[in-house]
Amino acid sequence: VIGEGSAEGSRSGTPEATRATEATVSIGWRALGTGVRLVVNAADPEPARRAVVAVLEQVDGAYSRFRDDSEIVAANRRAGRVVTVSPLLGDAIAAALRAAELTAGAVDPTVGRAMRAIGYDADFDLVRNPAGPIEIRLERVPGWRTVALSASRREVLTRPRVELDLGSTGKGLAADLAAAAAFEAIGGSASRGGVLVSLGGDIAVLGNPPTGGWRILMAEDSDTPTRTETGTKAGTEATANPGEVVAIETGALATSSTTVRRWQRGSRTFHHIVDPRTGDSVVSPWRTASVVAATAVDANTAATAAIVLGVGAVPWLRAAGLPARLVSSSGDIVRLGGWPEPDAPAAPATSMSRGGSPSPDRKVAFS
Amino acid sequence: MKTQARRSPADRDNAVARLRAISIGTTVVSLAAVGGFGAVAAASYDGSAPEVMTAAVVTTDATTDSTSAAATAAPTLQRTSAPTTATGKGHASTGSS
Repeated sequence: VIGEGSAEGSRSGTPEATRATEATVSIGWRALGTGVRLVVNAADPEPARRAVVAVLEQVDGAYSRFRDDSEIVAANRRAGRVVTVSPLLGDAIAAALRAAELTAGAVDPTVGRAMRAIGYDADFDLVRNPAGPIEIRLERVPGWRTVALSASRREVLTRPRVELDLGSTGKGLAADLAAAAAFEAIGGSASRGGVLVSLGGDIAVLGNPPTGGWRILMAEDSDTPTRTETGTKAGTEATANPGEVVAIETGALATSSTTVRRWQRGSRTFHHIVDPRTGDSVVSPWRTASVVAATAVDANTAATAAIVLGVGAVPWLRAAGLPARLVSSSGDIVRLGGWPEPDAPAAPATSMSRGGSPSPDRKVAFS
Repeated sequence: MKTQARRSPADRDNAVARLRAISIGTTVVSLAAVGGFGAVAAASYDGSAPEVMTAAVVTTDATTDSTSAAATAAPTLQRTSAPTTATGKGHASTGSS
């Protein structure tokens, strides 16, 4: 179904297509336990949609932690032995190890057991509403150096009992692969149009953007409707600061947040970003971090690392030279690396403003 | 005291001949073994350089305490242009999920 006037997506599993602007078609559906949005700046979106669906099915089979028949679950069962993996899983593990190396372990793929130990051991809908008894324990994270990968032989060896979880980098990689496949499906050249793929808020774009670029609504929940005037969820940053929209023309934008995928066990609240130093949900001064980079993998890596690094995120992001937007637990917003202030052209200065009051006269220098 | 009988020159020649035969046989067998080993090695080697499995050496100590060093690491995450301010309806929302 292609209709006029709305870019909002369906939250059901049924794809919904809408004519988002005069030149783009937006299709939303759910896959991999998260929301998928495909925006196509081309005449016919159907080949791109089919390509994205195919990529996500491959990803699901390769590294979904919640499918008993997925390749990564089988590999985790064989921890301690050399396992030959598919090219896709090999690439995903390589991306995760690269992320771990570039963040000095802040983003670590060996948090699988720790994640299960704090209760994230099933699809999130089941985690949020557990039926069984409450049992929580903390597991020491073995660390990414306990994983060895031969990229050319596609062999992986982990220490016994190590469980890989490619959550953050895996989602970013899936967005990159899906965007590449969609772009190829519409002809593979900018003259044929462009595509945007959002996978749970990890956004990758390729090809010719619409006039003014691909517009992204900044939120903490990627399911926030893109109509800026309606539909934000109570308690989210989008409610406090509705309508902050940025545009990108190339690359990717990803957000990590501690405000979603939260669950309760007894009196404790957990979320899905594990601190590799403790094995527990990370305690961070930032509740949300958004980063723009050349790929969704790198953007997600940097965003997740920023949450884990806490106050160290600001110098780390500066050193990386990546545009970033950090939202503190109290709602203050820090913009780095040329991330633009609302209602102002892009500027390289770093500044901090209060969420909900992005007036320029309230900016203060961040030191 | 009994003494061993002296060997004849013919006995000595025979012994030398046996030694020579043993030496030649050993040499032939050794060469065959080296050649066979080389053939097996050549057949089982794909010509690429030996590769160490990437990323991570299996170590006995946990590495997770190194996170604090991240601030001093030299990140090489790939950059792109900074975003610009935009108005109107977004094509998509970013945020965790």
